Amino acid sequence: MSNLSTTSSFSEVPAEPGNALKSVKSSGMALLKTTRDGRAAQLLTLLAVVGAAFTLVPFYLMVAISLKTPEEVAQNPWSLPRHPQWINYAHTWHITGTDVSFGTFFHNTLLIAVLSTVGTVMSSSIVAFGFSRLRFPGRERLFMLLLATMMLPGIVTLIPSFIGFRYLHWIDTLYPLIVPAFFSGAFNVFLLRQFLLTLPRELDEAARLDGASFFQIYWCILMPLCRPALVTVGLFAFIYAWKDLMGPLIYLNSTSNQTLELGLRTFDTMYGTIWNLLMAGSVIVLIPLLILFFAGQKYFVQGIVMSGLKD
Amino acid sequence: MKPLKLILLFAVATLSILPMAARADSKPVVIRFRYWGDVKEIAALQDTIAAFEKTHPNIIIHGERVPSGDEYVQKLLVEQAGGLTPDVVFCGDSYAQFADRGILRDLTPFLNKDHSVQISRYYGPIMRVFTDNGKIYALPRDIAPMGLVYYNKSLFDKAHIPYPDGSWTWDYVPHPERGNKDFLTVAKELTHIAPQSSESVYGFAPSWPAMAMDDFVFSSGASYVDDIYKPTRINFDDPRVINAIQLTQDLSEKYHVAPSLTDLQASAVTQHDLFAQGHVAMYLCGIWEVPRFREEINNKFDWDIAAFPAGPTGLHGVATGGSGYGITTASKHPAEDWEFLKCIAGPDGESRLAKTGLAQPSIASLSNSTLWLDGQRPMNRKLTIEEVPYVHFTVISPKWVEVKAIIDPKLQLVWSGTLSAKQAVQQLMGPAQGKLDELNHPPYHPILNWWYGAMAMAFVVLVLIGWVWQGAREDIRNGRRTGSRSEVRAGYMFIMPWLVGTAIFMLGPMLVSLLLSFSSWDMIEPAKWVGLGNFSEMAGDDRFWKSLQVTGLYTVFSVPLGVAGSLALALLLNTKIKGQATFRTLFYLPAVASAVAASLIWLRVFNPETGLLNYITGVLHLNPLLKAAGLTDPTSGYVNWLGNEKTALGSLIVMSLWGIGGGMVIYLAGLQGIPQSYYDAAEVDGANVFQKFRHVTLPLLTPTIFFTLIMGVIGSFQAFTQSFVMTGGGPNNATLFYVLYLYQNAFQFLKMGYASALAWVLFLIILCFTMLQMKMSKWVHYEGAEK
Repeated sequence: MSNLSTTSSFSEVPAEPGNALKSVKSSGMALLKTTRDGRAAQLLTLLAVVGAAFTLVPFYLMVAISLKTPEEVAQNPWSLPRHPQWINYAHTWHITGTDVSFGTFFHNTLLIAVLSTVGTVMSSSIVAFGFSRLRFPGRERLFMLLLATMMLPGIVTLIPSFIGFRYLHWIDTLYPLIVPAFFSGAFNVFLLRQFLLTLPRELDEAARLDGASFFQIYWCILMPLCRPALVTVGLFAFIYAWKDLMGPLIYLNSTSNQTLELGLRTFDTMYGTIWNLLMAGSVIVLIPLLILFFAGQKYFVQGIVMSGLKD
Repeated sequence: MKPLKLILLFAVATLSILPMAARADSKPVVIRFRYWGDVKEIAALQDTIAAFEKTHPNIIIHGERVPSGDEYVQKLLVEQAGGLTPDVVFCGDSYAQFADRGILRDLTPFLNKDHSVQISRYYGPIMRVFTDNGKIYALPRDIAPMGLVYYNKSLFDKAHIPYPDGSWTWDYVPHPERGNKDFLTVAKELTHIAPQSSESVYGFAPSWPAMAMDDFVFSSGASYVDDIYKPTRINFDDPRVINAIQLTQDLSEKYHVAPSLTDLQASAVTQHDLFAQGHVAMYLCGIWEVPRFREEINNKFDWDIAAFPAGPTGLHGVATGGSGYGITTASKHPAEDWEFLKCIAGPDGESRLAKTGLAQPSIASLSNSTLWLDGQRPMNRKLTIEEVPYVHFTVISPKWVEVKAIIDPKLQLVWSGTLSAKQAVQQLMGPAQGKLDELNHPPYHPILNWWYGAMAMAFVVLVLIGWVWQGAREDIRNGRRTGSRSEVRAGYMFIMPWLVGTAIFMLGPMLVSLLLSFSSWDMIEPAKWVGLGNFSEMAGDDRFWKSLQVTGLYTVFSVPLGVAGSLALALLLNTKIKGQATFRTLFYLPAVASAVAASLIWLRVFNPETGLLNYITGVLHLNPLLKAAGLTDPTSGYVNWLGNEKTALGSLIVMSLWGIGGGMVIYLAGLQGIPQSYYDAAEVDGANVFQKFRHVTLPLLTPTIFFTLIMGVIGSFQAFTQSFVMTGGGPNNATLFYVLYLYQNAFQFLKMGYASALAWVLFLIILCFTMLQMKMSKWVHYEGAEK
């Protein structure tokens, strides 16, 4: 344990989740108490606004261009759209004139993203638990191997992977994009392992003494405490699957199997870019991710409930 | 949720995607047709396909639409190596690589049997391109002369210059005495530069600099190589070529009639938009700009096209592009493929294509009909037909891509004004000719024996297992590092998903690529064993060292900045300020945007003449400062952020900061993991804000910081997309990231063996860095570490 005296704090934590939540509601706001440091809060808000402005400039352009006619895009790319062309979004969605619409791409991408997120979160947490909370021979070296798998650029394993998937008859299906997720990705295992290592050992030991199996420790005790990290992993996995270009490009053939990122490329060809439709498409593609992120915010505020820990 | 429910969910999910995998193949013949296209082209193609399927009920066309350009080639090469190519394919510039290496089928047997297809109906030049040794490998689709001078009639009227009628000529110096028959004189009279103002009017802009250079070269009677099909000698030292390059540079640097020349991916954004806005009087390009210009210019001004001027000796010559359709050698039903090919490359398909206005049909009679000459702007559309007799293809040889990669960086230095044409040619002749010689006389290498390879791979696996085994034994001896038997068993069970997954999905491919790094493989012919040849080649490869330097610099700057930045951001957004959730979402936005779209948007920010950054530097009066630093372009007065060697990498580093929201999220998660009780206890001990940070927050965040540092290094060493989309590695390899160079070697130069060697060298470098970081990680404090 750290050097801080925590005995009193821990024994004061109530056992019921409801009250515990109340007491940790401000766990994230530990640095400043707004009631006292009003001016500091204002300064920070200002900083946040300036930073947000810098971040938003490209998005302003994206949305602005998406609402313009081609004429306006060429003449005045940076100004506010004079007559917002909401119809661009309709054109983009239907990819007017062609057989496959964004609806199909949406369906495919959603399927891939949801399934691979479920698979990633489940498998990464299991593997991370093994690497962080259980001691077994060879663990450190195996972990090095795990890290090592991230160090080779994916380009050179494309062809062998392709050949492998071909023999499984998985080419032009969604399998190559979903199944590997159920076997955990090194990035997420590493992330969760780091997070798990911040949780005190006493939790595990107490549970063992109570007769819990390792799976129960994993499932009932540690995972609930990991919610912010699990949400992060889930978010990353979803976003990665949503935005992935290389995988769908190589493994998917039929237009009806393709994903949103590939679909966006319809508007970016060797003849030049159809800017307004491409930007409209990009906005359509990122809105679900935004909603997801915004909705996941509450898990970042909840904090850790240190119930059941006695000294 | 109970575990059982989860398993059920998993099973249901898996079963629900099974139907997707099933291929319903109840119809006779399915042809896989691979194509790219603009939305209009796709529509035209689909009409053709529908019509074809009606008249051929026993054939189903399975359309496979993929992005054009590099990605198209990459996918096809992977499929060729994996033995699963489509049946009928588009082939464009990269045709040479496909035909030469046996991806495309010889069509002459079909042509000999089937007399409904007359080769003579196609334009000669494009037909020649697809013919090799009397064999025909593709039927032409379109031809695209790149010598059309779009001109703005209002600007000509304002300058009181009669419209160009094609009887003009160009020379290396202006000839004012020839009046409007002299290209440079016309350009100069049309130019009005107001420095750093958006109201400047430029006389002339090529779509990309090389187009002007090509047209100058061809219309002066010169050529880049001795034989465009089987080049053996590079003719860049021909004075006519040197002068053509110099003239292109002079347009911007000396005569100030052209805006800053950029060779970037989307440089056409600038020049194209500038013409549509009425800021460029003459714009050099091909016919494909017409549909967009019609929409963008509307009736703002009247415009038309004129022939590129004749050269100093009165010669006409312009560059051209083109594309065609071919049948792959691996196709299982060539007869049906041929039927389809006849249709899309025949009057049916070509006329639909003609109506889109994007691509000039390669069937002469169609080009000459009202389908193509539709009586709308540009009125002088017949120019596209008139130019065909004097079009020139640049080099049609698969070897040229790699030679070009040596030549282009030097040319980029000419465009940015750093070198003169003569200097650039002096510097490039040796290496380029040397590379061409090397490619024309490849040393002998034995074919790789895959049985030995398999044994070698098995050996490596054994070594790996042995290494882990040794570590395991040490752990056992050191009793603290291992637990009870049930704990050990549980440990292995828990990591089983990763072990199995790696064994199935990763181990094989990684080992194969390791083996390939000792070989030379173009992905089409069998791999050859070169031993350590790739590694010795690497040692002498300038671009390898350059890419290491570029990537190293990028890492050194962007990782610490990114880590510090996202940590600061997370701390900031962890405090209770108004709209906290909104701010977090706003800062996280860059991470969710599609990488390609984001890169394209940033191109507009960095754009020299019309970009936001230069608008800001103008408003803040920073340009004199930038000029003193030698960063501005002499004509426009603006900094060409991505086109200037000195600023390109820095611009990309700044762009990487835009994405620190990603790291912020990880730190936020880490911060949530710090119990409030610790802060309360610290308060009880009398700590202020900074002390709380130093003694509570920071130590407990160290595992997260450690994570982002390691992942940051691993990630930035493998940075790829920005340079791929935005700069292509230029200018002069200033943004040649390591993985980009690797990609070029794999899918542009067709050197998968060398690329694999590059990959494994990178692996070693990253491994060393990571191990170094882990050894020096005493500063990381794990609350949950074992005692």
